[in-house]
Amino acid sequence: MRLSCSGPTVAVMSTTTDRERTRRWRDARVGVLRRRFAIGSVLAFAGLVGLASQHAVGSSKRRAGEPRAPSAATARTTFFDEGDQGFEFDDSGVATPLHEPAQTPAPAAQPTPPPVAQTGVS
Amino acid sequence: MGTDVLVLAPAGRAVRAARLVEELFEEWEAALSRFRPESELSRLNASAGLEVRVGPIVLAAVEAALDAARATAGLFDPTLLPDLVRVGYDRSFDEMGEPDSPAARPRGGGDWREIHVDRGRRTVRLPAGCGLDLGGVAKGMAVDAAIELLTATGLESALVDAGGDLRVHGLPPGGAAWHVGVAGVQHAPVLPLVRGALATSGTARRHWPQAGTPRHHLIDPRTGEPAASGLRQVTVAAGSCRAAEVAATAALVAGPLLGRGLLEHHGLAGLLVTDDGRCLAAGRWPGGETVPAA
Repeated sequence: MRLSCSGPTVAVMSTTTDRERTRRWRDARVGVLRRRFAIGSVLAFAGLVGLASQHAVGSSKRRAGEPRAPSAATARTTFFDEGDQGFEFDDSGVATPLHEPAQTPAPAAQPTPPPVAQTGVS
Repeated sequence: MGTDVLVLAPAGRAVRAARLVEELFEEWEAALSRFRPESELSRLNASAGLEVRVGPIVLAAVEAALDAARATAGLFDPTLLPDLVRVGYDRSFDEMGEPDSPAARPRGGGDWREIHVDRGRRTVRLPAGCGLDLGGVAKGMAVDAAIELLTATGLESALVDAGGDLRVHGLPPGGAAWHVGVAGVQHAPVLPLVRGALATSGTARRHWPQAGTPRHHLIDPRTGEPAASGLRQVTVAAGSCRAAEVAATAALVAGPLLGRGLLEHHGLAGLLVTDDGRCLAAGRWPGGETVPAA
């Protein structure tokens, strides 16, 4: 003899009060998530701004209320603008090419005069 | 400035030229040395947070250093003195022993943005806690000033070389260029410099151990620690010695890729030597190709 027994089917019957409570809870949860998302967006943006400002080396350490030097960080610089006062090498072939040892100069090249000075590490 | 100075000038005028240059360097050293307690720079550093009246040399050097920092986006930073001292470089290099481990944390750069210069009143105000080290630009400026002084005396040609950072004026008698060797590079190319200046920054000379940790004097402003960019030496050609000196330091801190780009962006030429001895040419560097370094 075979016996079978199916489990009881249980349906949750919600009342109007229960549904209202659930809706309010869901609305509250959505509100929290929205606020978290907004705060997260603001923080992410602030992080990006921070990274961008760090890209220019040495971020400002100015504290609130301290005056900022008006031109230190923003003024246009002319430090490397040398106009006609630039540098120049003699292109007539007396320089030893970097990719060749000094002992094997090009056949047509004049012998390189001895240096009168030498760079040094500082 | 802890260096020998070489002056080349036509015979008959060389002795006077050398004397003028020696006096000029002594004047600059007296104003800008951070190792002399009585120097103007030392007094300025001791008065950080206050407005200090300064002389023309300090004013010019501070303005140039700030201009250099702006031009390199802070890769050259004159306000790294606290970190230099922290890693042990608190006295002239010749007097250094092996310093103790640093007690403080790295500070990093960026204080230059808060320095206020009033050119009209000839005053400088450093932010509290800031210390200036103008060594990265002052020597080049002194070389430039020396060349300008010699030019003003009517000298038609001269070379001034301060420890390998040099600038030329005119051409040598009977020559088409000043031939300059490059230190620290195998098969050293002889550079036929017609006009301008050469300067080198590197880690080979001023380095020391600090409690067993190797240190050198080129601080990375992003970390406050000695730079570890993959470069050990950069030589730069520029119109002025101060520009060459600043660009060499900034490129060394920046590393091979960014450093080469920085030089070329500013129309300069240079030779960058990596830690493993490769040489990278930037801009119109004679020869152009790469060669293993010594």
